[in-house]
Amino acid sequence: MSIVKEEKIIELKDVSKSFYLQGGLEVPILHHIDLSVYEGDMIAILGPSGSGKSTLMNIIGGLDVATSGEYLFAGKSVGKMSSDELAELRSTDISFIFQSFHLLAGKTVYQNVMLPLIYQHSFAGDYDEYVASALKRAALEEEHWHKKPNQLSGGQRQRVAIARALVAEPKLLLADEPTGNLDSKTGDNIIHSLTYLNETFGTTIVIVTHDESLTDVVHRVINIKDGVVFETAGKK
Amino acid sequence: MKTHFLISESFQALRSNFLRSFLTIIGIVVGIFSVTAMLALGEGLSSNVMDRFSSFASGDLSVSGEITYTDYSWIDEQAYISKSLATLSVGRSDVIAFGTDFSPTTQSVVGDYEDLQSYEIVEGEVFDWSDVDFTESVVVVSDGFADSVLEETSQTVLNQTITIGGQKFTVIGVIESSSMLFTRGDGIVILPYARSVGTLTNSKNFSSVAVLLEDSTYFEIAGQHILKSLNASRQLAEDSEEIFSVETSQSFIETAQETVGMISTFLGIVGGIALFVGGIGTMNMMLTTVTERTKEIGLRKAVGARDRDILLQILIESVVLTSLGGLIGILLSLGAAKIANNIFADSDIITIIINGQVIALAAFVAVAVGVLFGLYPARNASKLQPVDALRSE
Repeated sequence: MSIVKEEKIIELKDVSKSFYLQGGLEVPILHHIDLSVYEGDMIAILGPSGSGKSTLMNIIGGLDVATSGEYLFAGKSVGKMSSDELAELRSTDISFIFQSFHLLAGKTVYQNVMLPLIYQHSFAGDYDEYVASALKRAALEEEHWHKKPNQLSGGQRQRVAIARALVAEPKLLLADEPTGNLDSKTGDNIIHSLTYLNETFGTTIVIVTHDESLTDVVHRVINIKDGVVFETAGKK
Repeated sequence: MKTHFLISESFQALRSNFLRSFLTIIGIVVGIFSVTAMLALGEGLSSNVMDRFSSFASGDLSVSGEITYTDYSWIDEQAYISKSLATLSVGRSDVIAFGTDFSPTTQSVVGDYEDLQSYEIVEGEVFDWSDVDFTESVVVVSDGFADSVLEETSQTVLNQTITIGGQKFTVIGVIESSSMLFTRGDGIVILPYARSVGTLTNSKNFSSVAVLLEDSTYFEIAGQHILKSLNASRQLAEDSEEIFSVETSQSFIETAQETVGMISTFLGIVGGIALFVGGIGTMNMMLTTVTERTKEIGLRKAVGARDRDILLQILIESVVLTSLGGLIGILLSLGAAKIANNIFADSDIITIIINGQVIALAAFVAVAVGVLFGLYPARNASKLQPVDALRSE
């Protein structure tokens, strides 16, 4: 079991997000959200399509910025960060696992996993060591390491995406519908892997999903509907 | 992002789109080949034309017109004149040696021929150029004429008799000079002035007088003085060019340089247009690449790529394409120049000169085209918002 620490890794204070259509028409997506996630936590953001959960994940991941309110990551205000500082944050502290994997077709598994490291200016470790370690933690057999993504099954591709997310040893792992493109057995394996990472390495994990079965494996469930969140306890 | 990763990522991206990269490179190859070929042609033309003009423009000043022996004597006596040479064009093209017809330039000269033509005696001897009363039937020929005769008849012309205008002359010497007049066509045959006047040509007047000045910096003042004085002797306005004209070798060369410069610029523009088209092709490819790889760019940003990492990667891809195209274009130009120079080996004008300067310029232009035409697509790519890019289809 992982130990949830007292330090907040994510703190959203009265965060709202709107999109603006041509002509200036405002479309509100998120409404005055307050949310705290602690180091070592594993939570699910649950909601139907169009509820704003992906937008919330993009804001938490530093891919998008809030229209109003404040977002603190490990105590630092993300809203005040420059484009380079946001890139640095994504490079070292936050990683993503996407529903559609987003693997680069022209690269091998190994090269895909190494990608985040090449954008780290301060990285001084051994690339091979980090990549191999990440692939092992993601439980991808070594025989697949030098294959191209199109030579792998869906589950194997998602493991590559997990390895890529782990390679930089981030503080926070964001998974957007990680089982959405997988059959139920493979999906269960992936969730098992994420649970293992949280419990063994203490990686903070936020899973964005509409799959209610995931509530069984997380500590907390954040329900989101029409851009408003309300929290329910996880079953674990 | 570390430089070696930037370069390897760029090469990998180009490899993954091999056919499109290859076709883009071909566009640049054609462009750089055109630029290099045109520059090299211009360089060769410039070099040849300048050589020729320089050799024609012997001395500091050249006086043209109907110049009598009295006029020439007056010019020669001026204190500011150091050396002078009057030339009478005999204009006989019917020169026969060993029964074969030749067409050398035939002329008579009076004055300091050695100083104004800087010739060397190859064989035999020369007559006294300044002796205006020398009437013997002898000629001195250029090495160009001697070579033509040897080539056509397999006989050496020295000490042999040749026929000019039906009259027989003995070749007493062969001389060589850097002047193009000496080697161009069938070269030159020089007859004693007194021997040609009245028998081979009806005119006694010289067509030109070339002079060297005591101090060549005063060429303008000296030129004006000569023109003014000659015009005065004919009751003409002092700056009239009705009968006489005075050209300075400097102005002659400057005019030639301007003309050659214009031709070279024109050739450069022709090559530049081809390169511009190649550059547009590169930009088109990079724009297409950026559009197709929007999701990839979004992913790269999601895993930590900064705007400038993306900008540099796309820019390097563009520069690698144009540099490879440039390299192949330059190599092709070198090969084509070698072939062209062999084909036009006998031509006085067409020489392709690809020197270090032309190669360096072509290489610089290739890289510059990559930067110029890659910058806009690269900037577009770098400004993509990761969340929008990831969502794109």
